[in-house]
Amino acid sequence: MSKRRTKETSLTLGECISQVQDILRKRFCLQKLNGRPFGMESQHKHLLELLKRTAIQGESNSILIVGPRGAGKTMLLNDVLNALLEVKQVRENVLEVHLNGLLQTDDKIALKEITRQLQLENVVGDKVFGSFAENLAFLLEALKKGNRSSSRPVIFILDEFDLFAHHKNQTLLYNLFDISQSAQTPVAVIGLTCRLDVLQLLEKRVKSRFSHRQIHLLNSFNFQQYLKIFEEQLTLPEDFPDRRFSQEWNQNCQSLSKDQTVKDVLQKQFNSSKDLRSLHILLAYLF
Amino acid sequence: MIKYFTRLKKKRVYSWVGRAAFMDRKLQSLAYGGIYVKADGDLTGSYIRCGDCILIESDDTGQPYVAKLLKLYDDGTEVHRIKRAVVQWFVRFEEIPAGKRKLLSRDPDPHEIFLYDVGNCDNDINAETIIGDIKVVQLSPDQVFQKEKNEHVLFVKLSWNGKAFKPLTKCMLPSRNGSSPMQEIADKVSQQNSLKLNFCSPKDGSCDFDIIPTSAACSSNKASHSLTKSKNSDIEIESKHSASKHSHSKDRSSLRSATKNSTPGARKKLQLTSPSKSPGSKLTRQDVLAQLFDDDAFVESVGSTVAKRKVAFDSCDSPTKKSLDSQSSEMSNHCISPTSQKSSVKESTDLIAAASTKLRKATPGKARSRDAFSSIIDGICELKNHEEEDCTDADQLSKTRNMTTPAKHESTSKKGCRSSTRIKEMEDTRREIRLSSSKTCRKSVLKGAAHLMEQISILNDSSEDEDEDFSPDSCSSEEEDEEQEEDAARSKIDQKKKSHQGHVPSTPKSSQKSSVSITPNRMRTPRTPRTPHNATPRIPCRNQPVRKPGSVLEEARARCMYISGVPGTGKTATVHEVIRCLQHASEQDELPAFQFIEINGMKLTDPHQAYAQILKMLTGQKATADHAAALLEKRFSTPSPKRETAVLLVDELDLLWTRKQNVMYNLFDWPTRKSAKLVVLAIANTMDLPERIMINRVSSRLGLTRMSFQPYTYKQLQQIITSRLNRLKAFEDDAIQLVSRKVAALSGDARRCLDICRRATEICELTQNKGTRLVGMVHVMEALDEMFSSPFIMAIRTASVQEQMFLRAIIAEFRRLGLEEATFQQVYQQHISLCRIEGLQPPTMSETMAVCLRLGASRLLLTESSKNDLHMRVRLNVSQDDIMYALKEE
Repeated sequence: MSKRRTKETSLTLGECISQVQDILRKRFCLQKLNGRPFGMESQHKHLLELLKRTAIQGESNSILIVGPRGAGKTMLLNDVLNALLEVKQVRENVLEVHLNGLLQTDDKIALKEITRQLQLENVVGDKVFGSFAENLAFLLEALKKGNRSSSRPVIFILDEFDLFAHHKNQTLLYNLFDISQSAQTPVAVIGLTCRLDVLQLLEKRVKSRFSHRQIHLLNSFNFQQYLKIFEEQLTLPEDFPDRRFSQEWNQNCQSLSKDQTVKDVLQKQFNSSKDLRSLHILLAYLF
Repeated sequence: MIKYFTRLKKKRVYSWVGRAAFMDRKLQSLAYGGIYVKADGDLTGSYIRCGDCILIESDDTGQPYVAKLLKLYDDGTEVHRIKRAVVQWFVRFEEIPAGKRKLLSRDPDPHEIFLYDVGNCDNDINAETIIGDIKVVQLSPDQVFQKEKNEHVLFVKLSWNGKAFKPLTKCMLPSRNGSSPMQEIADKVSQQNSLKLNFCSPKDGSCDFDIIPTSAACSSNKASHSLTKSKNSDIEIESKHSASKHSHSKDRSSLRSATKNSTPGARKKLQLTSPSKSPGSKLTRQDVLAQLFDDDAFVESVGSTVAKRKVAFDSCDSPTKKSLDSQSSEMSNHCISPTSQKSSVKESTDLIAAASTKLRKATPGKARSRDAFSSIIDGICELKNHEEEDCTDADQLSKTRNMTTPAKHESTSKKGCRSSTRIKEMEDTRREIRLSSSKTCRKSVLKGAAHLMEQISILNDSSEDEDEDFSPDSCSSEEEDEEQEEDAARSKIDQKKKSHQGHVPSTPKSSQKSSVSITPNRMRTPRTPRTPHNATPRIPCRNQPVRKPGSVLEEARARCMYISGVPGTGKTATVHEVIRCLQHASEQDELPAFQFIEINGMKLTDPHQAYAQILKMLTGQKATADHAAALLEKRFSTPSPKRETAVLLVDELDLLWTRKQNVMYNLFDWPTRKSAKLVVLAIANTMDLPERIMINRVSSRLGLTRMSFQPYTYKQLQQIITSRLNRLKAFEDDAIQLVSRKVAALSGDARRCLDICRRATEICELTQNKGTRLVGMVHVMEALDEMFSSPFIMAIRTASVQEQMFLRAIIAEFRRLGLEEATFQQVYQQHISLCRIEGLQPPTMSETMAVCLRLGASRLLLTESSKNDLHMRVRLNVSQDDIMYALKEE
């Protein structure tokens, strides 16, 4: 124990490097990013406000987050959900349902998944029994019974939202949006999609029930900002054990971003695609 | 409560007990004293006699019905003889409409039942639905329920007449050996029957008279049975009689037959069938007596009625009518001349029948009035018969009349007056129609809101009334005329009802009036969600529609209605509002209770699931779709007197489409059944749905009762916003106007309108934290931009250099080819050359392919997903002008 305490102040070089590798791999491979995503402050605020209203005041809402691949839609959402869950009252209360259009390829599977994640009465162990029709009726009944004040709010997250629009009759979307339009259990339906024309996919009665709130996440930064993001992603955090080492590391990073060859490589990458995920993949090769 | 299995799988065998006695020789119906029920597994079986209390299979609930067996007979009219029974119903507490249960003001004993004393109840049942016998014990109102170990004993304390619980009078003693007055009456009836039957028996001989098919005889025969049909008259009257009159009229008929007076001529004119809608039984001696007198009173009232008619007919110079007048006034004065010519009798019968039919048409509303009608008809028949009967009968009649107490006289004369005014009004209306039929028609439609209360009651009764619903004189007149008459007649009824029930302070409230009620003006933040389903108790700008479904529903013929309109125009909300009004009315006892059920095509996984859902909501039973269809089919085609009218709302009708369209067919076919008691309201988005997707037999059943909701105009939207704001000053007037105009121009969707307002208030809240400024134009503009601006332009502007270059290359290639489509290879060539011009390092093919697919993923480009090679065809999803515009400004 005492040994470790002494090591806190000055680690050996090898240990430092292994720690740095650990941190950076976490960032680039597991997408646990340093600080808030860049250029999304207003969207972040909007989404957080909206979810808070569902979670705390019990208003129903629906929103779409639209942006090209790698623009940080999921990152933004996860960030907002983390911020939301910091509130104790919300953490105890809110139910989250995560669906993905690539996994839940039709409404039948989606319904089972919702029922499973909500842990409703007809869930046995981890399996959901009953026919499609029964499940739908059961779920609708369950959601209908709730009211604004007493029910726990449910946040539905539909990843690859556009794929849900291809389901037969768009039954799931209609029902989710219908609940969000009427005073039943408070729900927030959040759709994530990269298709800009997603609204045209919706049937008109489904579209009418959707609130038409959209957050567009577009990579609206220039090269200078891109360089800054690059630098930021390599910077070690403040709480790194060896202060001297981290300072040195950070200075080196700054000089790296001013290096012409590095700039050329980044410029090429930037020209080809602005999305941050490709930058992360590029950086992941370094470690 | 005890659970009985009503749907026993084992078959029961029924056999008559005792000697058959001819109840009616002409109809070949045989009366029996008892029935022996033997179930398959049961060795002993049970012997049930008249007067016993029995359990009867119920059609939809888990519990069997309880009733007292009054009579058993065998219907000889059919090829296969059917065992039938006449019963006096009891109800369980669970069968009483939920809204009325609180009237009991105490907890019911689990074994308690109530005597069902409602007028329009069908008490003639198939005897093979009897399950077995049960013991019913009558308790006096202050007696406590005994803790009975035997579960097969039920207690009766109170009677239920559809409106209130009333204590039973002492006469009800349904024990097996009880010699209650009721029993006595029954005995008397049977005695009389036997008397009559004896009389009819062939031994007695060579009498060549037929038994007059009076109400009594007919009412015991459920099947409508035409005795004889005249060649030249097309008048058919179907009358209904209360069961309580059974004994009485039987009594009379036996007397009549005893006097050997039959009127073949008159009989030919009438097809008297009665489905015997009867209000259980009147229990007390007094009641029976009163009933007896009632009929006579009505005979009298008809007299006075006809006398009044004279006034109404003053302008008419028809000689036949005059003769009727004179004749009927004669009748009313009991100056019945046996010498009156047969032909004139016939004529007058015609007229009387016509008048009575008219009358019946005029008041489909109330059970009481219907009773009155049947009694009037009764009376008329009576009069007719009297004309040819000899003096003895007339004496008898007058004797009966003399028995009438003075008080009764008073009341009957009152009734007479009332019916006479009714007739007068009828005549007035009819004249009015002749003069300006179209005007009256419109007026009656406009009255819709006030009619809301009537309509359900009409619907309730119409199923029973339907077979009377034609008028003899409509044969000559056209259909339209008839309908107008009905309309006008109905509007008159309303007036009448108002005038009659003038002392009742709560006349049916219109939805407009109720909408005046102020919603609690709570201080809400403007962004609080107030969604169409729950927010306001009324729907602004839909007053006309709210009124209209009411008036349409009211037409007894149209049991289906189709409502169309683009999304967000308040279709479902309006229907819900109407239903809420009606439910309120039925709680206030202004309307008979009804059941509202709703299905939504979008909330079904398969069109056939509609059956299962409807069944579940109607009865709580769970069944598979096929089984549910069969059960519903059975339910809607078998008459069940105690069942409430059901209003079925089918939302998103177009999703119930199947290839054979059998779901839609059934939904619209059920309401046309006589015994269904069902109203179907169908909602869909497209106006021409019936023409477009339905086959003829479906769209014809749907009928032409349509309503289309127009998209809201900006003024209506403005009104909606203001009403939602609930006088809260949160928006600048200009801002509201901007929102409403914008939405009206785009879609007229109220949901959109409210969403924009909600977003605008959020923006307002975010931008300024201090002070409370109103939501202004700026915020609304921002919200509108956010919601309606196309993201394409922004997406192109923020795209990477290579992506922009690729779009440019596509446009260049399109221009070169003159086509709107190019292969990837062609675009790539253009891309390389463009890069060279711009001085960029040309990307590799795979890099370019990645760029292309990225653009394809965000649907700026349309690419073939199946093919990722050089020959992949590429098209633009945005117009070229948009791309040029987006790229130029940089």
